[in-house]
Amino acid sequence: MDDADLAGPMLFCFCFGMFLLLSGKPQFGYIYGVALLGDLSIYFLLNLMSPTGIDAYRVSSVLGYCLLPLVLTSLASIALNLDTLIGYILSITSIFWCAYSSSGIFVSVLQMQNQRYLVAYPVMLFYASFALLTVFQHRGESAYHKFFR
Amino acid sequence: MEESYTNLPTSHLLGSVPAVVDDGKSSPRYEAPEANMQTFPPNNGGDRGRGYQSLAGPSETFEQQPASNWRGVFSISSYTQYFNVDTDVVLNRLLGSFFPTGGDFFSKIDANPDLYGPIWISTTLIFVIAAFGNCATYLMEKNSDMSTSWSFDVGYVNLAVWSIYGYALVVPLGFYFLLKYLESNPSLIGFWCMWGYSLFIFIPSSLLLLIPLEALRWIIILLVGGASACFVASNLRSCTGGSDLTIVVVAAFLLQMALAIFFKVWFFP
Repeated sequence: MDDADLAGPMLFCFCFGMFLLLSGKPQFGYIYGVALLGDLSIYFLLNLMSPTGIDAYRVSSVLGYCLLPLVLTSLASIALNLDTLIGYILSITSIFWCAYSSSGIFVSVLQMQNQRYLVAYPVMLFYASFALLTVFQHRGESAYHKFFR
Repeated sequence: MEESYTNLPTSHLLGSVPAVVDDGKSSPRYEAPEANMQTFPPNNGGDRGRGYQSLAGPSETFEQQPASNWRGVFSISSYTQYFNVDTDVVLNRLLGSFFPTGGDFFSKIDANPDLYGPIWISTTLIFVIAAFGNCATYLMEKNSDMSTSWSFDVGYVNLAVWSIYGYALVVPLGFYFLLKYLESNPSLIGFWCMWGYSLFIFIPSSLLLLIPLEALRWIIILLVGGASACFVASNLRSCTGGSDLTIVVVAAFLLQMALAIFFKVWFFP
C-alpha cells in the first residue's frame, strides 16, 4: 500500500453517482458529503486506534476501492427496485462485503490484527449510509423546495 | 527422608513415573506467569511479539501515564492511549456490563480504560432507539385504528442525540467532580468508560421493546433499567468503598432508572 492513488476511488464514486442517477436518484451532493465526512471520521479513528499513524490519502484510497460491491448494487438498482426483501438482502450483503474487505486491508496495513472487528464496525456504518442512498428514494422535501415553493 | 526414590529397582519399567525429589530448592507453589486478572489480555512486557499487539505496555507506565502521554487537548496522540483495546477486550467488557452484580468492572478496566466503547455504544444506541422507536409507533398505529397516517418522525434522532450524548458526557463528569470534592480518588476516564458500557444493555432491550404490548414494555424496561442501574451502583460502590457515600450510589441508581423510564416514555409510548 505504498502507492495510494485516488483515481480508482474517484472513478468508483462517479460510477456510483451515475448509476444512482440512472435509477432515478440524483444524489451527487449526498455522495460527496458522506464520502468527505466519512473519510475524515475514519481517518481520525484509525489514527486513534493504530500503533502507527496513517495519512488521509491512503484512507480515502482504501475506502474508495472497497466501495466496489456497493457500486455493483447501485447497478442492480437501475433494473430492480431495491426497496424489497431481495433488495435489502442484497444491500446488506454488499455492506458486509465492503466492510470485510476494507477492514482487512486496514488491519494488515496498520498491524492491528486483534482489532479487526473494532475497525470493521465504524466502516460498516460508513458503507451503510451509502447503501441507504442506494435503497431508498429521496421522497421528502428538502429545505430548498420548502423555501422556494 | 534422606533416601531418594529415584533409584527404585523398577524405575526402568515402561510407564513408571519417576518420583519427585523434594530437596527444598523448588518453590512451594507454582506461580502462574503474570496471570493478572486486572489486565486482560495479560500483557507483561515480553508479550509484544507473540500475538497481542498492545501498545507500549500500559500496565508498567500506569503511574506516570496521565502526565507523560498528554500532549495537549488538540493533539490526537494524547488520546491514543485510550483506544488501546482489542476485539476480545471490548467483547469481554460488553459482556461484563450485562451482569448487574459483581462490581468488578473498575478492576477490569483499571489498567486500560478505553473510550472506544462509550463512543460507539452511545452512537449505536442513538440510531437504534430512534429507528426502533419509529418502528414501535408504526406498530401501535397498525394495531389501533387506521385513521391517522404514520410518518417517520426524525425528531426522535434529535432527541436521542441530545439525551444520550448528554447523559453519557455530563453524568460521569458530575460524579467525578462530586467524588473529588468528597475526597475520594476517582478517575474521569474510568467513569466515562463505565457509564458508557452501562448503556450497552439498552441496545438489545430496545429490540424487545418493539412488542406492542404496553404491560410487557413496562416490565421489560423496568427489568433492564434495574439491571443497568444495579451495574452502575455496584461498580460505583466498589470504586468509592466508603459507607458514607451511599447517597451518591443511590443517586446514580436513580439517575439510570430515570434514563430507562425516559426512553420508554418518549420513544416507545
